[in-house]
Amino acid sequence: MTGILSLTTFAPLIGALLILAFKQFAPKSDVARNARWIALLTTLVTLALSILVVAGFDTSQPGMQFTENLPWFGGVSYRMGVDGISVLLVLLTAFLMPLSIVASWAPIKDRVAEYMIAFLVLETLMIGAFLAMDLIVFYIFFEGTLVPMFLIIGIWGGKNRVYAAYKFFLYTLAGSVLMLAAILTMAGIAGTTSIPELMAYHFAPGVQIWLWLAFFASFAVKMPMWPVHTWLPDAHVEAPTAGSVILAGVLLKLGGYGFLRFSLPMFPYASAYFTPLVFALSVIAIIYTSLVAFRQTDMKKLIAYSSVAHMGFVTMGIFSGNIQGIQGALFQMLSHGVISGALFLCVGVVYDRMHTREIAFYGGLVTRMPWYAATFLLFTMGNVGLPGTSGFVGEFLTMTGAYGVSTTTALFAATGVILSAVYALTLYRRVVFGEMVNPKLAAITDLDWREVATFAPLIAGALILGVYPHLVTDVTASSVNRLIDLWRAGAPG
Amino acid sequence: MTFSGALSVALPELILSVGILALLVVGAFVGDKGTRPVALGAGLVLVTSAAAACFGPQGAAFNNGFVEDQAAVFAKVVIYLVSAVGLIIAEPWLKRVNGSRFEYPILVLLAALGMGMMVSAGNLISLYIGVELQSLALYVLAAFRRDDPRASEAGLKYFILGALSSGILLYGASLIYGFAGSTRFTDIAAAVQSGAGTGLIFGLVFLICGIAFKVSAAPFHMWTPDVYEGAPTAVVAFLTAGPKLAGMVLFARALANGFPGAVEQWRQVLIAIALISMLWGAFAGLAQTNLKRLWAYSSIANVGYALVGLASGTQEGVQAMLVFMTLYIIDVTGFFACLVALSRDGRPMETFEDMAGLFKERPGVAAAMTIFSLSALGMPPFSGFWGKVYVFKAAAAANLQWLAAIGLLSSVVAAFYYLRLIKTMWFDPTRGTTDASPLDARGVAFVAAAFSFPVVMPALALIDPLSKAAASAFGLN
Amino acid sequence: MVLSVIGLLVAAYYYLLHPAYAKAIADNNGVLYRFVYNKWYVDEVYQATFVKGARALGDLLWHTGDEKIIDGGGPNGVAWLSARAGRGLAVLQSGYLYHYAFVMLLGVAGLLTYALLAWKH
Repeated sequence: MTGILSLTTFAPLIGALLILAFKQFAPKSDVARNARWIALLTTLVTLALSILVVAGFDTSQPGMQFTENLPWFGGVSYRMGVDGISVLLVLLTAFLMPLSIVASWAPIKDRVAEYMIAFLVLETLMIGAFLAMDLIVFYIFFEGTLVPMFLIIGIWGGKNRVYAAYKFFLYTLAGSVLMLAAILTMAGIAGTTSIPELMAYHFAPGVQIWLWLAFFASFAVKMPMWPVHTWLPDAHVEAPTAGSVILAGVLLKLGGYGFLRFSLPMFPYASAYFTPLVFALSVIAIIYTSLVAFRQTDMKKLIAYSSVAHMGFVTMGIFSGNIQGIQGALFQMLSHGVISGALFLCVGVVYDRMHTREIAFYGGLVTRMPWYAATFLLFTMGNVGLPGTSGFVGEFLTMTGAYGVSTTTALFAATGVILSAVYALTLYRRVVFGEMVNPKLAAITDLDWREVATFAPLIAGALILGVYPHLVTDVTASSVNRLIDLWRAGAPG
Repeated sequence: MTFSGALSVALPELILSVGILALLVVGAFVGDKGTRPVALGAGLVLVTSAAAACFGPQGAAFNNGFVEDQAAVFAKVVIYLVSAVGLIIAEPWLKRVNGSRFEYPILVLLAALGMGMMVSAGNLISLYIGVELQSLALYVLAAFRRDDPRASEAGLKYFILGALSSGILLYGASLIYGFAGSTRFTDIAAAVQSGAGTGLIFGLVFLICGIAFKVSAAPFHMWTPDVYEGAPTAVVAFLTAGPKLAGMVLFARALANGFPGAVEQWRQVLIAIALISMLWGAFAGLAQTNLKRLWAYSSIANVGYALVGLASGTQEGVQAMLVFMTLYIIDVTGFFACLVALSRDGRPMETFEDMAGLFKERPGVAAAMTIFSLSALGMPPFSGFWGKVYVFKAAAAANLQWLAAIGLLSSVVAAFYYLRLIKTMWFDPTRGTTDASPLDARGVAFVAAAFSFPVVMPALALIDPLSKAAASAFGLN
Repeated sequence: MVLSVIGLLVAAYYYLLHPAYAKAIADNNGVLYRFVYNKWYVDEVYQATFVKGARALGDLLWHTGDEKIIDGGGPNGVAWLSARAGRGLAVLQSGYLYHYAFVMLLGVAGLLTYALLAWKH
């Protein structure tokens, strides 16, 4: 099945070109309809392809599979490959995309073709970033995601969209260029940009420190970690619903993926050296942003802050460097992709009806929208980390992992779990329960069939992962074990 | 080397010279009616010269005063072709502004000839001849619309400051000659090898300052924004492309061939100039509202990046500079072609406000301008990104990681103004209809955009070995 | 265990053996009764300490932490500084030739000085 990775990566791009062609040559009146259907079909095909990849994936093998290698120029090669760390993230991306397209079906009315093209290009870039096995190729995909997201926020965003779009772009760019400097330095030292080769290369400890910091600058912003998280609430608030879903669901995961793919195996010494720093920042993120989330009046902003807190668990898990921690971090990334995506969709449902995200505007929705209330409840519980939902497994594993390394860190993180219950349940109570005082809400309608179709797979995902986590951990196990071996081999002591 | 052998080495420039004289005669007889045939002839001459450079013999001729090596060939092919493209943009533009004059193509040819001399300079005299021939033609081109006071002012400013810089250059050259005892780079290199005294150092710094003016590196860039804004857009498209590459190659030529024993010394000066250029170009661009001015600052910053490559003082660095400049001038030509293609009610569109909502009005041109902006920003996978990869990789390999980091961070600052242009075109409401855009300029823009992405990706596999061979001609490590 | 048995016995004493006492205490509405009736004021104490504390802390971190310190010192601050620097440099671009020539000559002098200093050793 050589070539399937490239096919999965570039299938959305082909769809984007198709939309462009249809826009040029088909009747003007059909442009929006054509674009929607082509986008949906393309993302479904991509989903099917990524399922094929997962189905053909050999879980016993820790290394890269389905590898492709095409020499390019100056030592750079177009290399693709997938292992246990990336395979499920690709699946997550392909899984969320059709849902995002469906969620944009009715709300997006302006420049539909461009919107769909931006999303499809974004999908290509995200999948490519997970699959690229050459640093330069990775950087192209990783950095390229900024442009479609900039346009999505800037064109189809809310009131303050221009500020949010600039902030998103420049913030992340500032982090990324430092990584580029590090990538070029590594290419000079090691003489290659191949990721598997670089994993085996031993950089001198002094060099590792600098390279690690440069990569950290990029991934910490992407993640985002405290204190470089402030772009995220703005971006989320202004982005259209589907943009938020992809931003929280996939783009943030690029940061965690970067830590796992680059920082840990390539700079094990520096990773061990900086573990206390990462722990401290993670714990601060968990508590700090939970408290801030508690005070939010905008639903999306609240969920955005909660994302930062949940990503704190991910970084904590990754840098605990043991099997529970890293498995938990991977699990948390997948689970958060599903749950936060679903929560943003939940906000989108009421936003599409009422055009406001002010928590105070709502209340008593349960009387008019029982199905919505049930759905929202499930994902709120998942966000809190209720056992039986996928959120529980990730938080539990990462805390177990951290406990093995630093008890204090795990304890502080545990208070974060409590705080997450506080803000999430407060949000739910104020929006769904209570008296329906606002007369404007009297005519609000429950989920329509399209929304049900969007939520159903997400509900299934959150529950299946929560009840049967082995589905994930079995796939990731051997790659994670190898990653830990690499870390142990290079870390001091 | 026999005289005929020497002449054959200079074949591309001979073709150009003969072509210029012939076209001048034709123009003198036919007058302005003959602008189009003269322009066509000039384009033909340029393409022939590029081919002659490509396939003609190589070597050093005229007592080492004229060098035709891989580097010269690489630069000449790019310069001649990009000058021909400049003609494609300019000729119909001239017709539109009722300034159709047969001198225009001839001046372009003269400038191209000067650039050819610059990249082939083997001693200080041919260096100076090349620089002056190119500059004089450019001064006239900048002021080509005599009825436009802004253009005249631009030309005059360019001329006076250019004269000052030529003075600085000459002063440096005479100091070097005085202390080294020869104008030939090979002899100067030998003199430097046996110890570079303060006099030579003085001369070297003056020489660097003089050339820095020609490539508009800070702090010798002050003319750039004013000239770019005042000069006709079609002229700027030409002015910002070939001459920059010629100047950079001249830099490499003079420093690598003339001062190979003082690499550590001239590197320091170049690092300083590169640093100032990158930062000045990035920050000063933030305050601009006119796109031509903005692109002037952008070119200052980009020259700074190219100088980072040169400042590495290695063969890899020179190669990086060549690749960077080549990719950059394709981008910038495309961008100015877009500006040439755009007008509203017969008035050129030059400011941010003019571009508001352009995407709805002219999606093709707006998309091309978006690509050029992203490319200049250094966003992968556009060509500008690859230029930066080359340059900063060379810098990192030469232990200049800090310079690479500052350069990349300054590109984040500059990113704001590129984004602002994209934002204006895509997010803002439109300001009314634009005039029909001429096919020639639009065509050039689209071809350049297609090169910027995706053609550049396979093309790099071709450019990489060619530029490597070119860089090896300078004999650095 | 012991305490709960004592509690059970006390409750049994009041409610089963002497229901009148219990009613009297309730009617009396004494301090003790109200304290117990309101579940030891746990909710109110929580409200006063944790919830209010969390609210205040959340507001502090949000407005002062995120908006003032991180955004103000980070992105917005840098943007403001950059814009100022840009305007400052734009002022130099006066349009006067002698200004430009002056900057050029300053550049020459500066680079010469730098070169001489840098190459001394």
